[in-house]
Amino acid sequence: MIFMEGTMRYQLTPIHCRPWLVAYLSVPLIESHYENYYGGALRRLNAITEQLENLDWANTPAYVINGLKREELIALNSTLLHELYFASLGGQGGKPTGPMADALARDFGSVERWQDEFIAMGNALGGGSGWVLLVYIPRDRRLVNQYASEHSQAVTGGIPIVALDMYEHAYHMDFGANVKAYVGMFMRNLDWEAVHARYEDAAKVEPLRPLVQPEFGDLPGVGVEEVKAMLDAGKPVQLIDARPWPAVSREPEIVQGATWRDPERVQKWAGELSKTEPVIVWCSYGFHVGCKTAIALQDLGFDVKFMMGGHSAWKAIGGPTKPYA
Amino acid sequence: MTYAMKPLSCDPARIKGMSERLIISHYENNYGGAVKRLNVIEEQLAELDYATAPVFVINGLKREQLIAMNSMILHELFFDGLGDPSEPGAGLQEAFARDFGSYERWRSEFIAMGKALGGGSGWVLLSWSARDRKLMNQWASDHAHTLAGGTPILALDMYEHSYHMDFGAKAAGYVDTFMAAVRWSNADQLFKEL
Repeated sequence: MIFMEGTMRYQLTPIHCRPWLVAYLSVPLIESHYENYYGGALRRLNAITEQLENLDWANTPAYVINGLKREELIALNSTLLHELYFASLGGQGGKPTGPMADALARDFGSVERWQDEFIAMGNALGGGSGWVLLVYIPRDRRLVNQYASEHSQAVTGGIPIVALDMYEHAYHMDFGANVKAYVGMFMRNLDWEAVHARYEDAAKVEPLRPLVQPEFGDLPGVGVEEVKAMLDAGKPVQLIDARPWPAVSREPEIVQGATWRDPERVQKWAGELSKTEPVIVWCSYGFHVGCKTAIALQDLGFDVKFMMGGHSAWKAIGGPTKPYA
Repeated sequence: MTYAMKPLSCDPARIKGMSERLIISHYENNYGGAVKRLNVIEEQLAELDYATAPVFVINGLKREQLIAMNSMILHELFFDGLGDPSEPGAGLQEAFARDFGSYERWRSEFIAMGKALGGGSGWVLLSWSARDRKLMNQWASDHAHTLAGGTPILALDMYEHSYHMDFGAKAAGYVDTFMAAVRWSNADQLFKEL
C-alpha cells in the first residue's frame, strides 16, 4: 500500500494471490473478501484521512479526535493485514524448508510445534473476529505467533510475515461454522516462498538502539539476569550497591547478598574488598554514579563490572531484596 | 453450577429472509458453543486456587468467562426477539417517542448502528438504563461490552456468523431482514417487567 503521488490518499494494491489457484476456497468468497472488506477498509481509510486533513486540531473536542483516530487505526490495520493475508495465500502449503524451517525450529522448537500452535490459535478464534499472525520481533530477533481479537491489536515493532484472517467473513460463506476446515485450507495454500522472502526482509530490521555511554569507554557491563544467575548458582562474587545515600534512605532496600558503599568514598572502603573475587557494582539506574565507581575500582586493580540498569533493573526483574539496616 | 441451553424460541424454518441452515448453525455452533465453553470455564474456575493462581491465569479465565456468559445471554435475547413480524406495543411506542423523539427516529438510529458494524463483530442493543429511566441504543464491538446497570430488551447480533452464510458482505440486507422479523411481543414483555 502506498500513497498516491502528490496526495494524501492511500492507493489500492492489486490482489497478490490468483483466486482460482487457491484450493478449497471459492472464487466468489475471495472476490467478496477482497472487494468488500479489503476495498471497504481502504475506502473508509481514505474517507477518514480526508476528515483528518480538514480537522482543526486545536479546537476539536477530544471525543471526535479519539473517535476518528480509533477508526483510522482500525481501517489502516485492516488494509495492511488484508494485503498480507492475500499475500500469504496462493502457494502449495506443506512444510517450509531451508532457512525458514530453521528459523521456526529455533523459535518454536520445531516446525510441527509452530504449526500446532498457529492452527490451534486460529481454531480458538472461531465464532468471532480476529487474526493470527506470525510476527518477527527485531528486539529479540525471533518469531512469535500473535493473537489479535480485532484489527488494531499488534505487537509493537513487530513485522508480520503471515496473516490468517479469522474474521467470519473470511470463511463463513464457504465453511459456515467449520473453522477447522477453513484453517486447514489456509495451511494448505500457504505461500512459503513468499513468507520466506518476507522473513529475510524482516530479519534485516535492527532493534531499538541500546543505551550508549561513550564517556565510560569500554567499561564492562553485566545484565541483571546474568548477575541473578551467578547469585543463584552460588558463584563467588562481591556485590556492591553504590547508590548515592539519598537514594538509599528514600528506599531503604538492598539487593540480597549486596553491601551498600558510599560512592563518594571509594578510597575509604575499597581496601575491604578482595582482589581475587570479581566485583559487581551499580547505582540507581546504571548511569554515571555506578560507572564512575566501577572505573575507580578498576584503577585500583579490581576485576570489576557495572550492573547495567542498576538497582531499578534488579527490581524490574523481580530480583530478591532485603531491608537495608 | 451447569448452564443449560435454552430451546430455540423461534421457528428456524419460518424467519422470512433467513435460511433454516443459517439459524440452526447460529443456534447450535455459536450459541451452543458459548454455553459449552462457559461450562468448561466454570469448571476450571471452581478448581482454581485463587490465592496462588498467577494474575494472568485469573485475568485470562475471567475474561473468557465474561465473553462466553454474555454471548450466551445475548444470543438468547436475539433468538427470543425473532420470528414474528410485528410492531412494538403501546408502552414501547410511548417510550420511543419520549427517549428518541419518535419510533421512526429510534429505528433509523438502530438500523444505522447495525449497518455500521458490518464486516466485524458486535451487537446493537436496545437497553433500559435504570439510572436515567430511559431507553438507549447501545453499541458493542464484542460480547463483553454492556451498558453498566443496563437491561437489554432487544438484541441485534452483528457478528458475521449471524448473516454471512445468507447475505455475504451485504450486512445492510441482513439488518433490514432482522428489523422486519422482530417479534416485538418479547421486547414489550421485557419492557413491562422493568
